Amino acid sequence: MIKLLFSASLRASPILELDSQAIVYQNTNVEIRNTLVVSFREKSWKTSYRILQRSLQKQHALVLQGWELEYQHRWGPIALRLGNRRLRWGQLDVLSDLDTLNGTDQSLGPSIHPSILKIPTPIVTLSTRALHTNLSLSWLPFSAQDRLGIYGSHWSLVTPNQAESIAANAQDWSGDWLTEAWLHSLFEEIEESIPSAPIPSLYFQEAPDYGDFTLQAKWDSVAISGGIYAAWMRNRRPRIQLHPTLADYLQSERIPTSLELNDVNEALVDPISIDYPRSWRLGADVSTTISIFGLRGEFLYQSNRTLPLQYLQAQDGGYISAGIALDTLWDSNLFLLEAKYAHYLNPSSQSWLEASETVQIASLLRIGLPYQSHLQLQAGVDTAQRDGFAQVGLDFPIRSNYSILLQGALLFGPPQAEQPLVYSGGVIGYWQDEDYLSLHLQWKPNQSFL
Amino acid sequence: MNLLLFIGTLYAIEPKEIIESAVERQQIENSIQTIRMTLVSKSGATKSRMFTMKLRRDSDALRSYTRFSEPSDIRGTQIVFIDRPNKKDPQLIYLPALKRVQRIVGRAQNGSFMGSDFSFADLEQSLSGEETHTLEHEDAEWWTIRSTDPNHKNYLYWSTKISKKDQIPYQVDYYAKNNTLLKRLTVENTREQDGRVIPIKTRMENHKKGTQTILEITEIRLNVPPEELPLDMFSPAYMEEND
Repeated sequence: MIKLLFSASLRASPILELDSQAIVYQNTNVEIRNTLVVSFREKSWKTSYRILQRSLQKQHALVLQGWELEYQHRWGPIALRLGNRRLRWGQLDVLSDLDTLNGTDQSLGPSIHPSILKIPTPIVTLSTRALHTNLSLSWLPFSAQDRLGIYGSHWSLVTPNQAESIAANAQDWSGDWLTEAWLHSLFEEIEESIPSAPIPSLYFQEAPDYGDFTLQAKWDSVAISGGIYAAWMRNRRPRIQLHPTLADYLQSERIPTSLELNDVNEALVDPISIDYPRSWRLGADVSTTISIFGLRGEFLYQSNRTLPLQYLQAQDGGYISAGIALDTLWDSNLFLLEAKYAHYLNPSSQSWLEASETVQIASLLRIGLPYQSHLQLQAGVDTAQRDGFAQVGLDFPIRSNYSILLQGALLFGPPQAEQPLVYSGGVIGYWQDEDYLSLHLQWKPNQSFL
Repeated sequence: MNLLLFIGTLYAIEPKEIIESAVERQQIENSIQTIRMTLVSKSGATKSRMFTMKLRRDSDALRSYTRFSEPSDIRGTQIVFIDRPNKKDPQLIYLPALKRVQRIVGRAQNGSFMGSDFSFADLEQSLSGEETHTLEHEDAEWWTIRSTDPNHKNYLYWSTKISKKDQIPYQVDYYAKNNTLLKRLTVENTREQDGRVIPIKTRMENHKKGTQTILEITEIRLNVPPEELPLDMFSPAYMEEND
């Protein structure tokens, strides 16, 4: 198989794309991201590689951000597709809860294009089609996972400044001075037990088991499409829990007494647990038109979803969400509006960075300007968490193969809490100090490079 | 005597019949075409796009499936039109970056076709049946016919210059609602193949924006068997499967 792909690669003409991006953050840090995409395509297979080089705070990382490979074979109405792939479920582009078969790369910050956000994962799909109905059965042998910065990066759950802030606050905690050294060992143990690079290149690997299974039935015509979905799968977002003993000290803001040191040492053996619980997912979607608008909707029931709680605790329970999207296109202009209602069936008043019940709204307006340039305005808001973002971008071609994209993003939310592990807003508000300006230079040749 | 009869026949042709005949002559049966689309900006800068278009004509509709292969930022974009007389179906666009089919309907259909000076509606070949046609001008070589459609969203009227020789429209002037020339379509090159006259090179000039779009057919296969163009090809599921 590999030999076949290798020899076919030599026959296919590669397509190259280069993207160089400089990001200036509000805190004056500058990040450089250089991306090289190489892709090949033949009749029965296609592959692409996305290589990302990041430089931040004098540290550098080279990451294979995503590689895609798909082979397909047909026997009459039955098709087999296998490879490292991205699959699409659901109809919402920005707020979808249904479209989570692939893991997502959360380490790059908010408002990343969905095609980059999704991490390709090994998937085998057997599908058949009759009349207007398509039935697909997929197996994901390794269960995809989100790529998430937990500690030490710009877009992690605990940023470097926040860790220092917690440590500084702890100096004032009450307790036995003899056990003060515990504080240092706590932070050392936490740092050693989780990936803490400024540029996270790895995510947690759960031991493989029998993988995930999904079933999809779709019906379509030119005027309307609909689908129902079912999956038995591991959650893509990790359940992260600080040991309850340690969380208790953080919550009560005290240092353990010498009598409690044994308990503390036991807790420090495995201070943070990270796992990916399994759940059933049942969903449905529909896409049609109304007046001048494209109208899309989706629904999801998830039997077990983790609600993050304050002090790095977590709670599991059922979850439902329903979303609707409207879009219209005229000339070179596009307007898109999405709204989603989400509700944890087992709510908690102690939730952290995510509300038990909320309505989220996202919109995009893309306006064609002279000289083949475009102005793009994007915004998103979480009504329960009172946080969101606004982004403005201007792209214009400087030659037929080169273009420049200027972007600025403003993140807002409730004021930062002294203790970040009890912050009352959402994750965007949590990162409100990371407003940025960015400049992209893109090279996209018209034809095959060779 | 025969010549007199022929002239007499032409003289009796109504403008509506000329237009319908021209539309029919333009209609290509089942075919597969490779087309280069060149966008020319106001400053003269050019941008090229390549796509393959598959056409299937049945008694009820003309179906077209288009897939872009260049440049890389739109490679894999697919478009399906179902063109039925007197019926407006949504047009389908498959967006590879989102892996989703977008339906385009109503006023949006008058929007630009992939950033070009052609609107989606310009690419449709059928008549709505609501048009009225009047003969504007006639000489030894050409008929010029003005067509109006009170329900048309973009144009007040359009003026079509049709060759008497092969009954192919070689020039169409589209007038905006304020009665100014908005766009001009010119057929610059034709080729005879399998007994049909094929417009090989077509230019659309946008007089308002100062931009142009040139469509050149680089390869064409006519009379393609229907088995090579199954009805399933013109569906959202096919577009998603052929990402």
